[in-house]
This record gives sequence, C-alpha cells and structure tokens, in this order.
Amino acid sequence: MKLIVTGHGNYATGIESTVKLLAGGLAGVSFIDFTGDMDENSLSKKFTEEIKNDDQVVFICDLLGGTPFKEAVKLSMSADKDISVTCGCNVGSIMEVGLQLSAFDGTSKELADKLVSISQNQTKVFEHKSAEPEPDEDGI
Amino acid sequence: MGEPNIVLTRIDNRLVHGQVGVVWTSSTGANLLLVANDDTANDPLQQELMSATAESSGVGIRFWTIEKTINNIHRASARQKIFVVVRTPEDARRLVEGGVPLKNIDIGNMHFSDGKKQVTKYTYMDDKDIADLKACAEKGADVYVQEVPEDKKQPLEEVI
Repeated sequence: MKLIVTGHGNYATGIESTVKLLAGGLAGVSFIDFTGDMDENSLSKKFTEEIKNDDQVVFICDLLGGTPFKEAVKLSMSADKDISVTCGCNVGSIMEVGLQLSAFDGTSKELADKLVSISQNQTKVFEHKSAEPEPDEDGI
Repeated sequence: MGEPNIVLTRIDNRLVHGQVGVVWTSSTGANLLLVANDDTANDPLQQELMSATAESSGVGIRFWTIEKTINNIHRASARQKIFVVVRTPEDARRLVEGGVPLKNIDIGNMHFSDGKKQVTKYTYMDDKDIADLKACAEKGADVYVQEVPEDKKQPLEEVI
C-alpha cells in the first residue's frame, strides 16, 4: 500500500517536513507538490511514475475538486489498480495511518475510510474538562 | 503481582507532546502513558493538554509525582504496557533508585539552558545531568539518545 500526499503549492512537502520532525519519516508515504510551473499533465505523469510499482494506493489531497484531486480521481478510474482518493485529511491521520502502514492488509477504500474518520475525530474545538483519570480496577 | 511491564522510559523536556504522544506511543505498543513529574501532578491544565494526545492515541494516561510512582508502580497489571515519561535525568535517577525497574531509558529532547553543553543535536547537558544518567546506567538501565524511532540509538557512553 502506498500513500500519496498531494496538493497545491508546497502543501505536500510542507506536510513532509512536519512528518519528518515528528517521526523522522514514514515508509510508503510519498509527497507530490503541484506547483505554479506545472500543468495537469505533468502532475498526472508524476502520479503515474510514483505508483508504477504499487497495486494499492490512497491519494491524500488538499482540496475537494482541485487539480491534484481531479487528476488523482482520473488515475483511479483509468489505472488497473486499487486506488482511493481522499481530501481534507489532517496530519494526525497521516501520522497514525502512516506509522501502521506496513501492518495494513485491507483495501485502499478501507484505508481511505480510516484516514477520513481519524481526521474527523481529530478536528475539534478544545473544551475544558477534568483530566483526572480513573484508575483501573485491575492495575494502575 | 509481578514486575511492572515498562516498555520504555523517555526523558523529554516537553513530556507528552506530538512526537511522544503519537509516534513513540505507537512504536512502543504502549497502552498506558505514565507521566512521572512533580509539577504536572499538580497542574490540571498541563494534564488536560497531555490527555488530549493520549485520548486520540487510544491509550490511558496517569499523572503521578515521582514519589507516588515509586510507591505504586508495582501495582501495575501484566496487561498494562507502560511508557514512562520524565522531564529530567534527575527524575529518572530518582525512579531507578526508588526501585522502579526502568530497563531502557531513551534521552529525547533536553533543551539548552545556562551552563549546559550540547551533546547531540537535540540534547544539552550539564555535569549533574551526566552524573544522573550514569547513575541510571550503573543500576543496569540501557541509556541512549534517540530522537525518533527511525534514528539509530546512540549509547550514553558514546556521546558523553
């Protein structure tokens, strides 16, 4: 399974720098920027090149309906591979899924659903509540 | 009850933050974070902030003083895989000398402050820090510097 983070400007390599600082890197996760000097074709070519050795891919795009998203969807329809496309997922979800990627053995759709649900779960307003945890009955 | 299952101890100035809460917790397979720190044990806001990370990682978290940790760690259940986080080498030493079985001590972030010399990219130590770490090693702990799981472990004796 390969994850590809892609978006406008330096979105992808920006997230890459975050991931590097937090985890030192994530095996199986690639980062592809869509910069001002590129067009749809050059982006699509990069995608194709990046996934040539993978049968299962999840695209993690910055924006619903943007060019990286559209090119990823087109590729998912045309390529003879198991490809799913998400948008709007956050760093927390990429870290969590990326760290356990080698142990995952489901479909790209299952992994994509997981990314979205973690992202939704971690998108919130911080609200005060007591942090005093209850000790376990058995143990500490 | 047998010996508590402490999978890793990390010395980190920031205690539980993104790197520790998500990356290290996940790579150690821990299901309980034990923050052993006297200040945090009495600071509800710090506890609340660190609980947010633990909650999203799906692990339990406790905020205990060093003394409480020494007195209670042996009540841990065998299914509890404990990741101990301390702020300073001194606290790690207090735990070890108090009989808490810390087998692996990972030195993470130790920030610069007056009188501390750079030892590795993210660690600054003074003579007392080094003496405390050596004391932990002499008690049998494997003490090393490792910022993130992908990095190679640098044994204490190689960096000081």
